[in-house]
Amino acid sequence: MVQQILSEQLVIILNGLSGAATLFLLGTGLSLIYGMLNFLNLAHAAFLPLGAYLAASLIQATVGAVGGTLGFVGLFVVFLVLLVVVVPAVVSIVGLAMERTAFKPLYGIEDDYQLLATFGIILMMEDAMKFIWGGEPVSATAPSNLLGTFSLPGGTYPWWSVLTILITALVAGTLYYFFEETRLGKITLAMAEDEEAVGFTGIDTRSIHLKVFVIGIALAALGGALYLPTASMTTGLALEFVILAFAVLVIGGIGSLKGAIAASLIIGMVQAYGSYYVPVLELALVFLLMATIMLIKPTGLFGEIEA
Amino acid sequence: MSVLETQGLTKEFGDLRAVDGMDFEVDSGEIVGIIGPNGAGKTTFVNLLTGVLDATSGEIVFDGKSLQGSPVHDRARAGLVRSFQIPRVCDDLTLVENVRSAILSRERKNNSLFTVLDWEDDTRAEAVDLLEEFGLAEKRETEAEAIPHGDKKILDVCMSVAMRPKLLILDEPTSGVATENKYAIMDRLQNYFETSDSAVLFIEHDMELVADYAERVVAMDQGRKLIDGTPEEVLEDQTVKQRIRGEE
Amino acid sequence: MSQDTKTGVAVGIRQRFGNLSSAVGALLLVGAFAFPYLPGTGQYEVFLLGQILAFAIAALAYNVLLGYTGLLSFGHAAFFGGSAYAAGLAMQYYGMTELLLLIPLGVLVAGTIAVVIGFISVRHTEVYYALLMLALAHLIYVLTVKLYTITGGTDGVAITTPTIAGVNYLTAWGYAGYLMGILYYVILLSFVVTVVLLWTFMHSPFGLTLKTIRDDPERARAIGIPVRRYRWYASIMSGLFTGLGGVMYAFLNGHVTPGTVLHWSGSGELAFMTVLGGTGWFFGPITGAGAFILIRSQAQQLTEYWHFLMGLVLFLVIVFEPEGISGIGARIRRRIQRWRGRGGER
Repeated sequence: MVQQILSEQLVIILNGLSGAATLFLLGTGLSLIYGMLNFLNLAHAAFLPLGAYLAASLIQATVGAVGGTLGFVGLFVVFLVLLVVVVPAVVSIVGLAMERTAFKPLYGIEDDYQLLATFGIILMMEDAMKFIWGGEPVSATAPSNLLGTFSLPGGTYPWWSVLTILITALVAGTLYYFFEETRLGKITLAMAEDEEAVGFTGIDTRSIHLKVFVIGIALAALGGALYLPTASMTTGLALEFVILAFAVLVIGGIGSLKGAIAASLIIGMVQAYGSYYVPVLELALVFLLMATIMLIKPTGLFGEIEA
Repeated sequence: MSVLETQGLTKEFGDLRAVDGMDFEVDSGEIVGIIGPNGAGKTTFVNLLTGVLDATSGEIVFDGKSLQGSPVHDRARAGLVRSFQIPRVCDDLTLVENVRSAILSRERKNNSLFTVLDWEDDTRAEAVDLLEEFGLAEKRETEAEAIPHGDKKILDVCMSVAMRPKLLILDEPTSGVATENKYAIMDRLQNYFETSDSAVLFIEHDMELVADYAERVVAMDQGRKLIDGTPEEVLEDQTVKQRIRGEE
Repeated sequence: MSQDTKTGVAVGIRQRFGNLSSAVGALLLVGAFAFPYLPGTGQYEVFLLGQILAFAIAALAYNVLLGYTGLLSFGHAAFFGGSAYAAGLAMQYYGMTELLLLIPLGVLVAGTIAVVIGFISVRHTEVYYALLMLALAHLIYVLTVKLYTITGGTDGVAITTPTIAGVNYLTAWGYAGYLMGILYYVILLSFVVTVVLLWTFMHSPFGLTLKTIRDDPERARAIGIPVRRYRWYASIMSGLFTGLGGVMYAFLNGHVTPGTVLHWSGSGELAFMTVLGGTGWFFGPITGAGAFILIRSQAQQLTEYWHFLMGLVLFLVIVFEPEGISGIGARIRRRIQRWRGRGGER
């Protein structure tokens, strides 16, 4: 009996953590870009599905080409490289191309219209993805199947989700080290607070912009790629991710890495417990949380920028 | 009759004390100039008075009432009005509309839904009169974004004056204005205030203007009040000469 | 030619154009009233115009926030769909069938939603306002889908034909007669009322206050305007009239589902119509609604990638001609003025 409860709790916690992982990868880029460029890019949320779709295609192609020939380790390595390296890299290139063509013209425009324009971009991206991958849900569970599941009293749990959590934790740790300890990182964070001041010191702010932009998009794509093997992706999900990314932003604070980590964990857990005990209210709980934070601490848990 | 009084007004930003224990008083009808080097805390002081910033400690009493917790718009409605150093005007509205907006707010008519402004004349006439006093009447139907910077400053002041303030705070009213126009603006202001008992507080860097128009001068440095007296007294003071006029 | 003559001609042209615009407007209005009786207009055309009018109401309301107050909302589907659902559910559960009661009900429900979510959203900057409205509206959408025992979930609610002032025109005149003879006129009348009221409000001191807030909220505060409060009022006004559009749509369509009236894409479509038509001109959103419905009715037959087209047009409009159709119209008008002005000098 106790074993049953413990394993239930474990499943919920693991769900919460893997949900948090996805949210973190999605929300960090958005938060940093907004904090730094004062550019709230709705279309950012579309890079996660893009990463997921690309991952699906690559996985399916791999399985088709070399599925039978490679051993366990070989196949695992291939998958890992594809999902953690190739997908983010390719999507970053797409993102960079879009930055120059689609996002750059928006920088000087008034906030409202800028936001609306990014909404137009997300619509275009959605349909473009629908055009390439079709409107039906897409999935590619090979990586998860490869790793298999572990048993718990009452059920099984996929190892892939655990791997996702580990990889994301590693990424989060690296980012934390980068931003808090290295010079470039600290400059970047300083830029998020006061760009003009940093600009006066002669540092090339545009190139740092681009780097942050690329990192943000790469993270979102990674989030999508890791998310896919245990789930499926449809174009309609882009909106859900917009709202969740926004929740990370609000609860964690703009431009704060610590905030993004904290917020992702909180929201992930709330969603996991919510969907287990009161599925109807799951989203409502997240909103309640957002509303509470906005009332008590409008700048978010760790943010300093008022919104 | 004291219109404004501050006691020990202080504003801290972390370790920095931008305004440090300011005791300050203005009587109705007085024209007071505030001088000080850049970074002395003059604009911060103004932001504290108008409510844009919350004080760390100290008190502000306006017209007999404490301003504690009072938001910017309530203070403006109570008669504490400011103009901005970098002029703030409504770009897509015409000059008349800008001034009219201030007049309507003063009259508490903002929520009037069924009066069509195109067909209403009282506030319009008042707005045009005011624009004329400040030399902007010709451009009254132009959108504010199309007028030159100097005119925007005047419009900004015009809007503030339209509120019939008990205390008008002018943040560097002649900065960015061509020298030949500086006196014109100050003259117009002086004309306007001859007939009202508004108190005026103006921040200025131009010592001659201060000497010519202020009845009293307060010099600030490093967030504190250096000296408070007649223009002659203040401008001849040694510390003022060193710290402030040296910068001229 | 002296300066005076030039100004005189310009003023004269403006007057003439002014009259031309109102003449065109009057003509269109007469045309709208006569529409069902014009040769060649059948059920489908009337239905289409009815849709345009319903969305025009909502777009005009949307522009109160976007064009006049400077607030972008991604949550208007909550008002549009909220009122539609209120009407539908009232019919289903309370057996209310009277249109003249259902309309105020829908509008009030939309207004109430606006009071609540507007209050929460105005406490923040414009960007957060937009996203908060999105989040809150999405919450309503999700709840509607999940509580399917009450709301019918994704199947939605059927809107049966209402009685109008007690009379069941469906049985009296058949569906065509009902649509073209009375429902269309209810919608048209609502449209006219909306135009008259909103025009008055936007040209009143209240409207000027909103525009002041839009252009410079700090300035507004400095002249004593309680910015947050007026943004809230604007949200409520916008919500009420959007609700009117929504309830009209509900009766015209006969059916509402979360996907058609509560989903965020609806808010996006409203934003699109408003921007396309032009936010700077009061009547702009009407042209936007018209253009949108007409293009959509054609495009949907051509492509299922309608969203891409919408997104692209939206992006291009914002980057190149933020005043949309009316901006292009204004440019043409200015060019004609300049041409006439030069000609008049002769």
